[in-house]
Amino acid sequence: MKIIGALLARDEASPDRYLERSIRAALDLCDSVVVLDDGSTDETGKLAHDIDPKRVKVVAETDGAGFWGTDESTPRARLWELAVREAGDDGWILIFDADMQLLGISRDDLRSCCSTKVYNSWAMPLYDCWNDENLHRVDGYWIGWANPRVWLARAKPTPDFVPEWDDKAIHCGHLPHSYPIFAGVLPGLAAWRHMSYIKPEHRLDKAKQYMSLDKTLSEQEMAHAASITDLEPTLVPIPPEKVTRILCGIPIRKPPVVLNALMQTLAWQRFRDKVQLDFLFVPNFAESDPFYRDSMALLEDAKRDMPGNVTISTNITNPGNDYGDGAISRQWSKPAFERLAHIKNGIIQEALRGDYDYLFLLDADVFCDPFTVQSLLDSANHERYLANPRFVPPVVAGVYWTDWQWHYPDSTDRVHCGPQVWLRHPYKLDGRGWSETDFRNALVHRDRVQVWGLGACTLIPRGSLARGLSFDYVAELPPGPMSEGEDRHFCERASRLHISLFADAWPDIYHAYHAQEYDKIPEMIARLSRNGQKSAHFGDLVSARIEVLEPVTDQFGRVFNLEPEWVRGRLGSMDVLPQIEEALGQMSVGDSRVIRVHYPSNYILPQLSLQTRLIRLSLFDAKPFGLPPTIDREFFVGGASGRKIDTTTMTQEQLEEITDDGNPAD
Amino acid sequence: MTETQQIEIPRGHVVITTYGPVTAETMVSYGDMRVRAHSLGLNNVVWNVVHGHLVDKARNEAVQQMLADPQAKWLWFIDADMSFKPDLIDKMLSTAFSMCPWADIVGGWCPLRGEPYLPTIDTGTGTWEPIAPHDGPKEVIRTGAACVLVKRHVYEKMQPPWYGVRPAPRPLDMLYEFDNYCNIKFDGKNPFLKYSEWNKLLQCATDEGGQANGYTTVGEDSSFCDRAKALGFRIVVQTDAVCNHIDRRTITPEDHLNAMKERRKRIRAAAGIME
Repeated sequence: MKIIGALLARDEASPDRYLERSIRAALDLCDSVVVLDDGSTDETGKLAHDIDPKRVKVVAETDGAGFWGTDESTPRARLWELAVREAGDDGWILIFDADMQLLGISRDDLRSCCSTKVYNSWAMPLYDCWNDENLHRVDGYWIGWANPRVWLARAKPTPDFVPEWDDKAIHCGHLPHSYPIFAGVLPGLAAWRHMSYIKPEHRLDKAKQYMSLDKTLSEQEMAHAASITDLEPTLVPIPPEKVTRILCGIPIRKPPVVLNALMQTLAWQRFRDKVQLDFLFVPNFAESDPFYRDSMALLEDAKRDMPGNVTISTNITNPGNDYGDGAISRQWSKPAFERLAHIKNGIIQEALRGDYDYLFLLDADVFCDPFTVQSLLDSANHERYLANPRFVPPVVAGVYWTDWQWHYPDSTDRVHCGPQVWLRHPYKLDGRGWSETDFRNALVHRDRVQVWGLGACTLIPRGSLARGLSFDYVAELPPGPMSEGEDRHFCERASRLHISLFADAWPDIYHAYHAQEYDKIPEMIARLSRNGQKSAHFGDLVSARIEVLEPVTDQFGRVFNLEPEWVRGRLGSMDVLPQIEEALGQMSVGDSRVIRVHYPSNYILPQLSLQTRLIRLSLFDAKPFGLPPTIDREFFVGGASGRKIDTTTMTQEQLEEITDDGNPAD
Repeated sequence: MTETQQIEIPRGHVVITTYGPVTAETMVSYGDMRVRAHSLGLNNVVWNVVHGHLVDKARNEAVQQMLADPQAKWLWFIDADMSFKPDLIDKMLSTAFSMCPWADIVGGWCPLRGEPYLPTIDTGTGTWEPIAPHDGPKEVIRTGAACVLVKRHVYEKMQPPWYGVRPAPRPLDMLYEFDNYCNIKFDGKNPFLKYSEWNKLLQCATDEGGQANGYTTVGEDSSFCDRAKALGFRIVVQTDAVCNHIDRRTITPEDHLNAMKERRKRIRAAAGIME
C-alpha cells in the first residue's frame, strides 16, 4: 500500500514561502509526492523536484496562464488522476497545499490508519496560524481547528468509482464531489499547520487575491476573505504548544513537619506536556495554634523556593473559628464545614479570575507521588481538551486510603481504612451497581472509576467551574450522617449540573490524617519518591488508554463509536487482547501507537469475532508492582504468587490461619 | 415504619389506574401495602381502582374523584403492572411529607420494560437516566406515572384535563417511540429494521425533521410533568421507593443493574478489555 502526497502549487518558490517545508513534511509521512505545477512563473517546479528527485514527481501544466481563479477544478482533476496512478488501486492520497504541514502523527501511525477496512478517508483539523507558527486564529469564520475535514482518502473507494468535480474558479474541493466519503478523524493531536497567514504581507496578498475574485465567491467566502484584515483576531497557541495552566489551591492549617513534606511533594510534580503549576495557599490558622508563626514563615519561604508562582491569599477571609478538631477523628460541625466551603469557593474564584485550565484542590495533609497531577490529567482525557477546548473534562480525584478513626493499640475494635471517594451519600462504598467488595477491589487495582462523591485531591476543569460548580450549599438535601460536608454539596451540585466525577486510583498518595501519623511522614515521603520509568517490564503496573478508532457493531447490528477506555494492571497478566499487552510492553512511557487488534473466533463478543479494528494505545505510566499506601496494611500478598487477599473479606480467625499472627502487613 | 408514624400524613387517595386487567402481582402488593398502612394507623387513606380507556382517561377520572373529596391532599397513582414491597408506602409518604415536604410531586423508582430497564428518572438530560435504586431522593424534570404521588394543589392550579397525550415535535420522535416499543416487546430487536422501508421512513422523518404533524405523541405522564414544571412545581423521585415492572416476567432493579454491567462489559470488550 502506497501513500502519495498530492500538491497543487503555483508561484511558491520565493524563500519566504513554505513549499520546501511542506513537501519535506509530506515526504516524512508519504512514499512519494506528486506536484502539479499550475503555470508557475517562478522556479516552483524545479525547487520541488530538487528536494528529492527520486520521490518528488513534478508535472507542469503547459498553457502558462494557470487555472487558479478561473477554473480550479481542471487542475484538481488532473492532480487526482496523477496521484491515483501513482498510488495504485489500494493506495491512499494525502492532499495538501504548499503552505501546510501535518503535525502530531508518525509515519507508522499514518500507515496503520490507512490499513483501515472500515473507512475510506480520514479527516483532520487545520490550524490557521497567525503571526507565529505556534499561534492560530479561532474567531469568526476561522473554524478549521474545530471542524476536521477530509485530506486523506483511498485512491479507489469503490471499484467503479468515477471522480467528478465541481466547476468552480476556486474552492472546488480537494476531493471529487462524487467521492463517497466515510471518514474517521485522525487520532490524537494530528492536524494541519496552515502557514500562509502567518506573515502580514502574505495575509494582505491573500486578501487582495480573494477580493479580485469577488464575483465568483459566495457571501460566506467573501466574509471570510474580508476578515483576513481584522485588526484584533483571537489567537491561541496551537494545541501541541499550549501551556496548560493549573492552579493548586490549598487551605492550610498544619505544623511545619506536615508543610515541609507537602511542599516537597508539590515541587516534585512532573509532567509530560507543557504544564505550568501555580500555587495558592490560604492560611486557615487559629490564633491559638502553637505552630502558626513557624508555618507562616514556611509559606513565605515557599514563595522563593517553589517552582511556579506562589500566592499566599490575603483576600479570602476565614469566617468562624470551628475547625472540627477531635481526639479520635474529626468532629465536624456545620460551622466547620461552612468555613472550609467558604475558603474553597474563594480558591475557585481565584482560579476563574486567573483563567486557569484546571484547579487542583488539595488538602494540606495529602502527599502525592511525583506523577499524581499528570495521572489526573490523563484520567480527565486532557489530550481531548487540548485538541478541542470546548470539551469539558470530568472532575477527577486521586484516591488515597485513610484510617478515618485512629486505632489505639489497646483497642480491640478492628477498623478498616477507607478511600475518600464514594458511590452513594453519605460515604457509601456500594450502590450504582457495585458491591462494596468490588468497588474497593477496583480502587486497589488502581482503576479509573466513575464515582458520585470525592474530595481533597481533586482536579477540576475550568469548564466545570464556569458551569457553576462550587462548594455552595445545595438547599434541601435530605439529612443524614455528615450531611453538611462541603464535599457532599460539591458532588451533589456536580450531579445536578451533569458533570461526571471520576476516581483515579493510579497515583500513590499518603494522607497524614492524625497527628499520631506525623512520625511516619519521612518514611512515606521516601516511599512516594520515585523516578519515572521509561518503559514497562514484565510484572510492572501500567496505566494506559485504549481508543478504538473505527466503529463497532453491537449484538443487534447497530453501529457506534466507542469512547476511550482506561486500563490498568500488571504487564503480563492484564485482561486485554494479547496484541494490546505486547504493544504496551514495547512502548515507551508517554508514547501513543496505532495498532490493529484481531478478535479471535471465540471472542466474547460474537459480532466482533474474526474481525480486526484499529486502536490507538497510549501508555501513560509504568511503575513496579505495589499496593497503595495505608490499604497495603490490609492485604496479604502471597510471596510466591503475588496474589492479594483482601483481609476485610475474611474473619480474624481465617486470617490468623493464613498469616500465622493475623497481621497481613507482616 | 417509625418515620411515617411520627409525621402527620394528611388524607389522600391511592389509586390503581388501568385500561386493562390488573396483574395478580400488583393486587397482592397493593393488598399487602394496605394491610401495612392499617397496621401503621394510616386510616385516612382511600384505596381505589379506576378503569378507563385509555389510561389518561382513567387518570383524569381518579383526579376528579380525589378533588371531589375535600379532605384529600394527595393522589398516588400505581400502575396495574407494578409490584412492590409493603413498605413502599413508608418511603413515598415520608418523602412527600417529611424528607422533601417542598416537593409537589413524588415518584418511585420504576424500571422500563426494555433493556437496559432504565428507571423513569430525567434530571435534565432529556432522556431516562441510569440512576441506580437506593440512592435517596433526586429532583427531576420528568418521571413516569407508574408510581407517582401528586399533591392536591398541583391539580388545582392546572387546567383539566390533567392527563393527555400531546403531539410530539417531529415525526422522528414517533419512529423513536415506535423503535423503543419494538425493542421492549421483542427483546431489544426491532423486527422492522431488516426491511428497507424502515430506512426510507427514517430518511423521510429525518428530512422532515422540523415539521410537526398530528400523528406523533408524547406520553401522558411526561406531558403532565412538563406542564407541572412549566407551572413551577418541583418533582422528586425517591430512588429508595422501588417498584418492579410486570411484563412477561418481573423486571426488577437487579435487571437494570445487570444490564448496565453487561453493557459496560460489552463496551470494554469491544475495546479489547476482557473482564
